[in-house]
Amino acid sequence: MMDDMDEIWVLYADDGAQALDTAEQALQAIVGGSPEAMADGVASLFRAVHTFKGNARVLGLRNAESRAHVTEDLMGLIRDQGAPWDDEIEQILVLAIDRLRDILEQTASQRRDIDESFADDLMRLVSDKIERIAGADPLQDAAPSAPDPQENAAVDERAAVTAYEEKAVALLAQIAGPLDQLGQLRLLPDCADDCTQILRNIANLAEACGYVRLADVALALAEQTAPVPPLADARLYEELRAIELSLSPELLPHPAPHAIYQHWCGMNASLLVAGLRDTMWLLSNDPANPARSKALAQMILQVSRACLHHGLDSASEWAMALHEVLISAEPMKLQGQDQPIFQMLEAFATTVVAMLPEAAAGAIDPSQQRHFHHSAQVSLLDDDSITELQALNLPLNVLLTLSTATVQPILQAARAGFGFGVAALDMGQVAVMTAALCALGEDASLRPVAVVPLRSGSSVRVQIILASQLAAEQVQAQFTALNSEVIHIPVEPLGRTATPSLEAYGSLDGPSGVSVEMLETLGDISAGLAELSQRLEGILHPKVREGGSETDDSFVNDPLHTGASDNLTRVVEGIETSVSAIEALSQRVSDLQEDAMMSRLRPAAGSLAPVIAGLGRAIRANAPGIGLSFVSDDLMLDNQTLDLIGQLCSAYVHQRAEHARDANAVISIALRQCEDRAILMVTDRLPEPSDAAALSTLRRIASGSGGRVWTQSHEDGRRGLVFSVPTRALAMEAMIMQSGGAHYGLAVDSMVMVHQAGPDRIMRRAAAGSSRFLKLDNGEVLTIVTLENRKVDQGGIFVIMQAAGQRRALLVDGLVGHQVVRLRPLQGVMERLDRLSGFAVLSGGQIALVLSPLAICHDHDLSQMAFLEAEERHEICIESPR
Amino acid sequence: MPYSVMIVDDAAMMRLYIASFLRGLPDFKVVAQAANGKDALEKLEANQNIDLILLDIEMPVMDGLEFLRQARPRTRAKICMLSSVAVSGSAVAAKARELGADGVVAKPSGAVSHDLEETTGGELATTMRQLVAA
Repeated sequence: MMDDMDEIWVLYADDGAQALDTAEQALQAIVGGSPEAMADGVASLFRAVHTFKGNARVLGLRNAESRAHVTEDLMGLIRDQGAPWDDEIEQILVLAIDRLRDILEQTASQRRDIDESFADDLMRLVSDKIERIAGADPLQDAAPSAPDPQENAAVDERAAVTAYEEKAVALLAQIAGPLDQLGQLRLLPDCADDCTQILRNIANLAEACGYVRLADVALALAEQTAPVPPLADARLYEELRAIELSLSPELLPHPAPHAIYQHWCGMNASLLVAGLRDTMWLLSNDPANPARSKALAQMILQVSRACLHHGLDSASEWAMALHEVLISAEPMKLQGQDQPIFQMLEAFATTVVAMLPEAAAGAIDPSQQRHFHHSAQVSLLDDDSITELQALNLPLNVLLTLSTATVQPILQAARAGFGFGVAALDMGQVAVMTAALCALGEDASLRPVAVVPLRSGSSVRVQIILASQLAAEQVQAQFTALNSEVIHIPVEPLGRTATPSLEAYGSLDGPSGVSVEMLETLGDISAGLAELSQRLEGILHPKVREGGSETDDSFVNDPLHTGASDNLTRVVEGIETSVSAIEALSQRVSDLQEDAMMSRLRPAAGSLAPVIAGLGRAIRANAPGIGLSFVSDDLMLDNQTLDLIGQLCSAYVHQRAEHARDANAVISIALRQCEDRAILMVTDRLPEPSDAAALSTLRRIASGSGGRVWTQSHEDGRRGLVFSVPTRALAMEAMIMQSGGAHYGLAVDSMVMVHQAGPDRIMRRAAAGSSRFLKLDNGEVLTIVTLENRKVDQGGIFVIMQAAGQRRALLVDGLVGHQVVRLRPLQGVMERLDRLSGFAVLSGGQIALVLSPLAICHDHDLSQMAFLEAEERHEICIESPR
Repeated sequence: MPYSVMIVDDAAMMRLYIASFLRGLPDFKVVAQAANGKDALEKLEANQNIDLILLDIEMPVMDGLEFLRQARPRTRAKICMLSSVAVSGSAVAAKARELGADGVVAKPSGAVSHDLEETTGGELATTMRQLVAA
């Protein structure tokens, strides 16, 4: 190193002079140039100063580095945050370049740093300018003239990467097919040889295109025997993703290879979680090892994708949040398994393992998903907040259930110097809960700052985090004195810098955050508290006796009881606050629950494709002449319905293939949507129809879930079965309408148009009958349908709808707009309402009844066909009601 | 056999400085240097046996992130991002990790005594050894 120092100093002088020349040219370009030239100039100036700073830093010239650094900061504000260019900046930069030249000359000649006071004027000017720019609010608004330098830089880069992109696109196109095959084959037993061959082919293709890492991992996978090690899977995924990241999104094939691969991850979810744990253990013992840290990050990504595959969306979200935390954590924070990150990972892994069997069966309770939701939020906290939370020594189970919303008031209280205690309340004991809340309302020294749920087996507890002037152990004692039935969790006292005043309590936010499980209980509590509040109010401010006479209020007016009165007033206020908070939280939970339900729907075509592909391969082994085709509407279905459809397809195809092994035919499977039901049609031209036993089996599978089945023959000789399968939930795009104060939804597929018509367009039969008809501009006459028994003679807004070849004109008060809704079928006695398919909760929280176009178009007292025929025969006359 | 290293930095002094530092480490050998990402891509194609790439981010023509995006799938070499300051948790570092950087390390910052290996070069050396061993 010492041998090179002379040369390094020479290069320092050369590089520095060159950088400052570049900076000077860039400055000239900025001052006299176009907006494009300015963008290039700013970027170039930034890099030049950055280089100067880096070189000075390497040589330990701290004062020289600081002068360049502050100039770089100023350029950064312009380049990255859009601070506006002005004459003052220009003058400062002219001075900066001059001063940096002086610094370069002095440091290069003397080979030592400048004095601390050197170029003080520059430091002052730049710092002052930065301060003023940073104080301007907001920077982006004030910077219309600062163009995005990235745009221009991208032009050069684009030219340089085009050739690479072409290679990447070619490779992805070549491996998409083999990957798809691989994904399907790996779901089946006894296909190891085929998989190995496909992986070798992928490796060869990758090698030929220069993607050596992909080639390596594909070969590594090819040489593995089952079970496939999850980390190897993870690496293959990461290589595919890396190639895709090197491309513009519009160049990616559909589906992208990584999406194909996600399916594998799903199938290997249990192995992935096991791999996650192993990697965690390795990393916790060797935190400074970046390879292990990276491997763990990869594993978390894979588990996230596996969760997504199984419909555990919240778990996937949590995993991604943990990934963020992990990659931004300092290595030393990873030392030892008792670190919060590992504890969160362990809790996550445990919960995922517990939920996977149910998830695979599509039977996850949404409330369980909520557990992940809260946990994911706390994981999204920034490092500083996590450090502060750690200092509070909150129990881990409390920490895991905090959300970003609940953490803020806790941190706010901590920063204000409050101590904490945590009280646990059993949500099953409403009386205790009510008493505890009343006690809190009565005691000014304890302030609930957050309420968080905690599941313990089948029971749910609420953790109330209390901020107080008191020390933590005194918080516990105080709350116990108020109510002995609550369970206390010991919390170590937090070191305080100051004792807060009582007034500071007023600045703390109120309770927030609650779980789905509490919803019903919260309703009971809310009602109970409201009643209690009313009774207390009655005691404090009695007005009227039952008999109508004024009450005796001498009790509250008696000076001896003034203190009691004040206390009671505080209790009432506390209760009212709690009631409001609980109501608001209940609403929030309802919204979250609805979101979770929506997110569990999956695309039918994509979800069933692997099942159909597996069936195809299975029957070819026994009946090589039989093929399989599958088409599907663009349907979103719940997991249970998808499983049922998969079972029906499997049972039917196996029966038919068994029946006619030597035949040549194609079994066609089609999946359609009909309002709230999925219609599965299976047909073929095989010589023998399904026998009674086979039909009985299929009927049993279908009827077990409320489905129906009937046989169907076609004129062209095909025969088959039609299954009508009820859906637990189905997403549809609906037009939301209002009529008679209620909301209604109509599938947009059934809508033809919206027509506004006056009374002159309303027709009726002259003879008799209550039916009314709408005559359109093109002469078409449609039967008018109303949702309530309302008069239609004055006309209004008509939604023209169509189903099964029939059209109707639906009179409504107005249109709200269309939105994707989750259609929930009606159950019980409501099923008898045959003009309705079900109901849906709208984004604003209202309930909309979803109309059945089929029922409406078929069910009316006079069909428009009969009407038109009658009109044609002149057997009836038509007149306008006016 | 020493590991092959390519240094990618637009500052000639920085390239020399790091190369000089690496000469003191018998387990590493600098086989290529590049002044920007585009130059580095070309050198990488010509030399597939590079084991480790030390990569600056702020460079003209093609910056470090774009190089990472293009080069990461095409090389077995470990890629270590050189940061001007200790910003392993910064947005740029996070982006580099997302694009597949195997490590992020601060550039050596020397003292006038030039006793670099003992002062700050240690972190770079440790990181490089961990990366190639993984």
